[in-house]
Amino acid sequence: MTQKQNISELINTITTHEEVGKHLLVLYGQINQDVIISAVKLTERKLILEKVPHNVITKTKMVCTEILQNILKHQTKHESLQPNFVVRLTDSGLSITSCNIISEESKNFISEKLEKYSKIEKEDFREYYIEAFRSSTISNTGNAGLGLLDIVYRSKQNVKYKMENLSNNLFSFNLNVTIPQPLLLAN
Amino acid sequence: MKSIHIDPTHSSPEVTFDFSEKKLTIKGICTPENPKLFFEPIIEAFEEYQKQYKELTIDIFLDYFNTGSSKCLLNLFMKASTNPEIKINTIVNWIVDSEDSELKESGIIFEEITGLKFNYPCQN
Repeated sequence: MTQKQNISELINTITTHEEVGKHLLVLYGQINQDVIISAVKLTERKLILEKVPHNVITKTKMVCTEILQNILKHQTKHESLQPNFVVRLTDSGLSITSCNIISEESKNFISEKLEKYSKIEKEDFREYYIEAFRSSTISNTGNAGLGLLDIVYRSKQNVKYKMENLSNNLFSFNLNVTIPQPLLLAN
Repeated sequence: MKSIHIDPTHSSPEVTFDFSEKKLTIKGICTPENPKLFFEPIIEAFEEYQKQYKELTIDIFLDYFNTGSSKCLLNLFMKASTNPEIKINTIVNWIVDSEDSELKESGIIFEEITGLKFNYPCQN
């Protein structure tokens, strides 16, 4: 797949989504720390303009940061496929989607965690989150291993994902996080 | 060791640890690439402070933070709460916007885990 095809596929995915909504941010290309800071700042500005409640803005900034830092941590360079990251307002809330290329090892690690979190009962999730937070340790690279858990917790388990085998033990990882907030578009 | 001051950057907060005022203030965005490295001098200063003083006020006024920083903050709070031999009277002011229940909930979780006394003053 060429870079051009990759971009048109991204646009196609965005525009044919069942709830197109209002696009606030579309990011395409390799992620680094500066890109993360700018993307979160831009998302915040857009959300303020859309009169989104303060607590939802904070939640969104934290979820976006974790998703983007997760891409940074796991992204594997691919000759034609670049990571993408999209924030949209829809009728049912804020939708944050991302796609990046990961190794088989990352694929197994991420899917195992997401499957585990999806099976936790909603009423037990806060307690699970607190215990995981309490018992975690931080590595020398500053990683506490809590990013995916934090995304699932803050989105109240509104997380869907898809992984597809590309080639040479590389997988595409599509993540869709919804932050429920009814009637945002009515503002 | 004396008081420390760290200037804010686009991804890390301003930190002022004023020994004479008995106050540690952390303010701004807290998503440094390596939170462990960022918090190291603060935790070192805190360990030194514990040897000399019996009380401390910590003002936390964060815009948002990443999970690595969250864990480092928890480690800092735990140092203030768990060692009975060098325990100091610590009050945490977790300063939030009045409408920001998300950030306040994060403070409540820190409070539940550490058992430290948290206040939740509003910035507006």
